[in-house]
Amino acid sequence: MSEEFNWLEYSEEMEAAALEEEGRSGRRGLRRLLPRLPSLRRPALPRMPGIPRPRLPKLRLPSLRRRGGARESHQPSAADILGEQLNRPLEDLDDRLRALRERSVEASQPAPSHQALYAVDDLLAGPALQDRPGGVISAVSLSKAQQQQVEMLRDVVGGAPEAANAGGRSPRFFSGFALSAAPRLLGSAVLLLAVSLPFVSSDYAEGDLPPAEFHEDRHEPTTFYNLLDNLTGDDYVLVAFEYGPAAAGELDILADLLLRHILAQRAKPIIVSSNPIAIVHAQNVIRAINRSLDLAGEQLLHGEDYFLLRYLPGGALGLRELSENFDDVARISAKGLPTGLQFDTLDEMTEIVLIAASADDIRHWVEQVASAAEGRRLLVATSYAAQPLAQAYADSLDQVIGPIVGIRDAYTYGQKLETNFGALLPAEASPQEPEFEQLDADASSDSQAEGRRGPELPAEDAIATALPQPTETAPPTATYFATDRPQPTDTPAPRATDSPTATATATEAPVRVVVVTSGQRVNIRRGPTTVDDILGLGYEGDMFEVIGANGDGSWYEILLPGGVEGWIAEFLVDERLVSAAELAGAQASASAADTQRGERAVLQREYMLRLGKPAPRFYQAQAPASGDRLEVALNRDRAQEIPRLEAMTLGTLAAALAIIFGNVIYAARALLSLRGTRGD
Amino acid sequence: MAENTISLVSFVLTLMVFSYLFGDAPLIGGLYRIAVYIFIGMTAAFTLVVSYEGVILPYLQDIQDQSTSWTALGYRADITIMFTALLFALLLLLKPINRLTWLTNSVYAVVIVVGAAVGAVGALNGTLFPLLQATVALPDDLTADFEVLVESLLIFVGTMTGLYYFHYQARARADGNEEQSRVGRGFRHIGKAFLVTTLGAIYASALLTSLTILTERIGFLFQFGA
Repeated sequence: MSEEFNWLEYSEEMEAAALEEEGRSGRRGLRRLLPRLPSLRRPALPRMPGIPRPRLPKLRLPSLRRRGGARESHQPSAADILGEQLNRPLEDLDDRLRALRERSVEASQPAPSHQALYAVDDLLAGPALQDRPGGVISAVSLSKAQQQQVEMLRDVVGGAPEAANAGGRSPRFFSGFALSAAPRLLGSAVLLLAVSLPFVSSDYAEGDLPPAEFHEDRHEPTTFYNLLDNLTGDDYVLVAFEYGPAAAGELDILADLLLRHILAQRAKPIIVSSNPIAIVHAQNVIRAINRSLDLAGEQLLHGEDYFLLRYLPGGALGLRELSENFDDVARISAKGLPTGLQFDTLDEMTEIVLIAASADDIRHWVEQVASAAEGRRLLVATSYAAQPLAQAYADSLDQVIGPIVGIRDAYTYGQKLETNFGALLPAEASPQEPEFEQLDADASSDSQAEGRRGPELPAEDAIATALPQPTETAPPTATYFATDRPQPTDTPAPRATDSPTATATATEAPVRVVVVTSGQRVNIRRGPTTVDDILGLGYEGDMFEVIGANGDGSWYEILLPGGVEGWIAEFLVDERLVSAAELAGAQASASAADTQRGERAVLQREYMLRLGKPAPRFYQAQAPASGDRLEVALNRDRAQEIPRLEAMTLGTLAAALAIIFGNVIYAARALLSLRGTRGD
Repeated sequence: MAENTISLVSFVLTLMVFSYLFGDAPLIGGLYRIAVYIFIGMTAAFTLVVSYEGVILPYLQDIQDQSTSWTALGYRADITIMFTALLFALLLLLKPINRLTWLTNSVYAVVIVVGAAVGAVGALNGTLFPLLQATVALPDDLTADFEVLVESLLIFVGTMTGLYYFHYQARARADGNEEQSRVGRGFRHIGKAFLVTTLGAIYASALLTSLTILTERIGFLFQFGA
């Protein structure tokens, strides 16, 4: 301590070192063009006699003149340097440097090991600087009120309270094991046990299952159901998928039910999302529905039964684009192909269904979409976590219907759906526990259903009784289920093969057709040249109606099943005159063969989508039976529903007990800690 | 086979996430981190693919489509929008270059300002005005619909006191300290009670959501084991 030390001189050394370093590195970039300014150096002050200079080792000082990224690098700060000076008397430091050193020491302490959530303490940690009245540090410290709010947040998310670390002395009983991970493990084990028991045995069931109908005080979920039940084949429903895989455990069941309900009514869901992962997830949900329909050989087809639009980038901005440029958004599918949808505004949607996991998503849809499409209702299905906000919107806005919330409402909705659609099953296929695999539902048959309808009612009356009464825009339900799938609005008029009536009429006049004679697969093209796009494929024996030819007769213009026009080379086919019945029979057999090949339908669908037309279902075996839509509504996998509901009840009880127990422990710790402090 | 593989991968990933129960230790907790990193990486990759296929590619195809005329006003507008978007994207790519960070920040500024403006307008029209109207709306017949009246009053009191809770104006005393009136303190306490109750309800809702997802995962594990 004999050597004197002058802090001002010390600063000058730092300055000189930095300038020297800059001189070595040279001036780079645009600064080269600027005149070199004289350096502004702080004049050296005379040394104060009598002040002992502390012993300091040679320090590697950071350059104070580095720019940009260098400033963000891991150069040691002044606080770090001071924190390392453990052999130096603290009293030698003034208040400012002592505070810096304390900051460094605090920052180097290991993170508490008992935080419940990863990195929560890091996120919530305030500045580690000690507040000193009048100092610069106080300007960046949390106020007392702010500190209380941080403590509250820390409690809510499971972080460690500051008082447990810094305040008082922990009693021996609660130190060590009790403060380690054991409480968390114990609570988790109890919760996992409670949630797991219902999956092991039904003996542990607690509480009642949700009712089969929504409670009479809850009008809105019933309204939600009825609105979807009134959809018809001409309706398009915008379905917003605003949840990803993380929320799938809660919302998949709701999304599955709502999509099935819409599809069972033969309306067409148009799926859209502002979350790209939700788009991918929506495809998975549709795929799962398709898997459940495999037994009937019926598959939902993109571009015909449902549409998956491109995702909307930009969050609220994307939703604003949807509401103002819906024609543009509806034009492109998630795969970047034209959808063939031609809408001008969102008002052309019959309903808008929102399936959202977070309150923010609901708020964005209400603010950006519902407020812009005032004529449309917004039907909200959501998670428990987002229910409070969704309920507030539903209570205050007539436009917002719902919400349907979580797994309990999903159970009720599913029960309602299956009750109503199950009533359409014929009597022999509708036992107490319906076996949906044995579906043979023909609403026009003479079979009578049991259950809600009563054994004496004829089938059509029974169906009309079982389903909700249609609105003025919906056709009678019994007739609806007996009719065939409606054609897209912009496809050509139904051909002779589309309905028995048309077939009967067409048999009176011969039809000019071509039959493929080539033994190899032939191409059907968009125009009468070999450079035109390939629309589809033809195989030997395939028969197509002729509607024209090119100038030299080298190409026939033909009509493909589904009303799409194409061209086929003359040398590959023979021209004939056949009856309409013969044409229908040939195309039906081609259709059956097509289910084996598959490639033709896929190819034609792809090119139809590229052409921007609704892709018809080529070579479909037969018009689908009226039971196909019953399968969509009923063929759900419900194996996990009841155990999950029971697990929810037990899990809620276990969580409540854990919270109460935790609070008792917390209070006891606080009391004992207080007593220990007083003892000191 | 594919279904079995997917189920197996899901099973393993689920167990890896559950390993967080044993903390963030390097050996066991690393499994949790790996699962999270996989999730984040796949999310980023899918986002890129979906954005490219559904947003960027259609724009590029529009340009190549010969049936679209350059003379069409709408088409020129589309081209302008597309090139603006491309320019912005390129500027965002300059982020790692320190000297050009200001260009990236300019793009951020445009996006943030436009987003804030859209958000503010939407919030006014979609949330603030409708909720305010619902807050001050009273039933036509107060005596007949007493329940609605009480509910409206509760909403009104909760809204006003909740707003007042964030009101920090105080009167300066002669000794330099600040003092808030007793009425003001009372309002703040009531507002705080509303806020705490609301936070409790939201916390309970979040707990139910977590339990629902947990039951789904536990059910999946049992289903896989069976």
